[in-house]
Amino acid sequence: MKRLTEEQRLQVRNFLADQGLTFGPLLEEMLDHVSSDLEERVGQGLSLDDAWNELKNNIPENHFLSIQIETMETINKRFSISRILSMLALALMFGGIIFKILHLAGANELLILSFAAMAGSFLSATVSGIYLNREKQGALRLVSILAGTLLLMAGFTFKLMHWPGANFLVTLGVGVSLVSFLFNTFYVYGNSSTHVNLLSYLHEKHTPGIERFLLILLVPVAILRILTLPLPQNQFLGSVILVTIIYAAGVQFFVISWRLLERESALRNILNLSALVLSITCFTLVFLGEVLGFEIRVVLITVFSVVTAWLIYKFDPPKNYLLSGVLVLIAFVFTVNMLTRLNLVPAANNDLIFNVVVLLLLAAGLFMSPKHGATRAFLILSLAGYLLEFSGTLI
Amino acid sequence: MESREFIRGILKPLILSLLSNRKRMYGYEITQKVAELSKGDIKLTYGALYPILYKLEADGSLVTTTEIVDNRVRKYYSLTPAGKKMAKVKVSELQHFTGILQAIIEDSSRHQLSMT
Repeated sequence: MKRLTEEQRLQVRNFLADQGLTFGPLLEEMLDHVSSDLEERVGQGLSLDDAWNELKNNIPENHFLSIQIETMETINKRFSISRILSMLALALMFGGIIFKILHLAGANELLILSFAAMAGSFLSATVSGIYLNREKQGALRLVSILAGTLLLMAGFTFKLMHWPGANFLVTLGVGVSLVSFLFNTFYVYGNSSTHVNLLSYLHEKHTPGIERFLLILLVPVAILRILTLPLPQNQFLGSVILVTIIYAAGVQFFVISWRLLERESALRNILNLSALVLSITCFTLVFLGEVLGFEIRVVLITVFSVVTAWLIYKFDPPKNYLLSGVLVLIAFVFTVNMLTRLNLVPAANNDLIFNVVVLLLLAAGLFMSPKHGATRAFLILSLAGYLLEFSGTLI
Repeated sequence: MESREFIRGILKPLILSLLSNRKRMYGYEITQKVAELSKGDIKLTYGALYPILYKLEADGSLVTTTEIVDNRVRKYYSLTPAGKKMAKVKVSELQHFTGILQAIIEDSSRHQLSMT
């Protein structure tokens, strides 16, 4: 039987993507099925164009999107405990912030319970994911990321409560996270998606949920931050939430990048690998906090922003000029921020980067990138970082 | 083509039964086999097949392996030990139900004949 050429296969893939298929495993499966259907029709004597038209005419409107929704609902029912815990974490976190604003007792305890619920959510999703996909490779790599995240959460909880050993836990968490992120990066660089990677598989299922979770956290904290300006970062009550968003969105960006590296062989080159390693290293080390000097952290944040914005161009190219401009703007904002913080340029330059126009442009980027998971993760992270670093007034 | 609602109802035992007789199958292969065995009467749509396959996988009844075939990722499904047990139960239930239906239809036919 005559097989489809690479170009024809790409045409089918684009058709499926245009139909709204975004869940990778299902997209690949449908690509194989539709291609086999086409090859069968061509084998029966139809021209490829006729076979393609016949097949498309037989597919009802929104058919693939409905399949994806039904499939995702089926899969997600398994993760109900994780979902309940993540909603509980959200409620507790906002409760903690409200308690802090109203100067009520128990605010810190609520925030700690929120971290515990979040940890429980990660843990249950990971454990059930590993158990239900025992045949897939990569349980250890997945557990190492979870271990790093849980250690960091424990470290920040200790910090919040001023308990001894906080810096040790944070340092350990950063160390474990850095090793696990780099190990995963080198693993996907050396292995294409022919091996079913458990982390990629599970993350793909959870990507929309994680993004929703981050946006639900970000929107009210952003509003609170704007209302309380020009309060400095260390006095802003929502800082802990912004830091949580930054870490989670950063991990989201790295995992999506690994998935893209697995899928697209053209992306697997030394330059991209080096940039990703640099991005991961800068990002993770920043969480060491005061263990590192202030100047070093500011430089790391800037290097991360510039390198990651470049990576986005390579991994998830923007579809319009405005989105491209927003990515350049992010790199520019954090570079100017570094220069003013290090007193290399006058502090008055802050007005250039911290204002309502820049804030609106960053927020607009989120609306312009609905099908760009890596870009959206980076934008969420950058917006949270921008709000955290914001100095001065909005107008 | 048979009624879609009817096919949806029997799809799970049908897939489990097919897989219990084979080491592994992929999506397109399942639709082809069903069409062949039903002499073209049952044509599974993408929408009928894949949500059920993913549900069975999530339930732990099916396990998947992936291979690259003709530059495409092909996902094969096979039964887990729990899936094999489920296949026996579901096929037996379907046979039992078919027997009941058969008895009802035969009784109804006899009644109609006696009326005429």
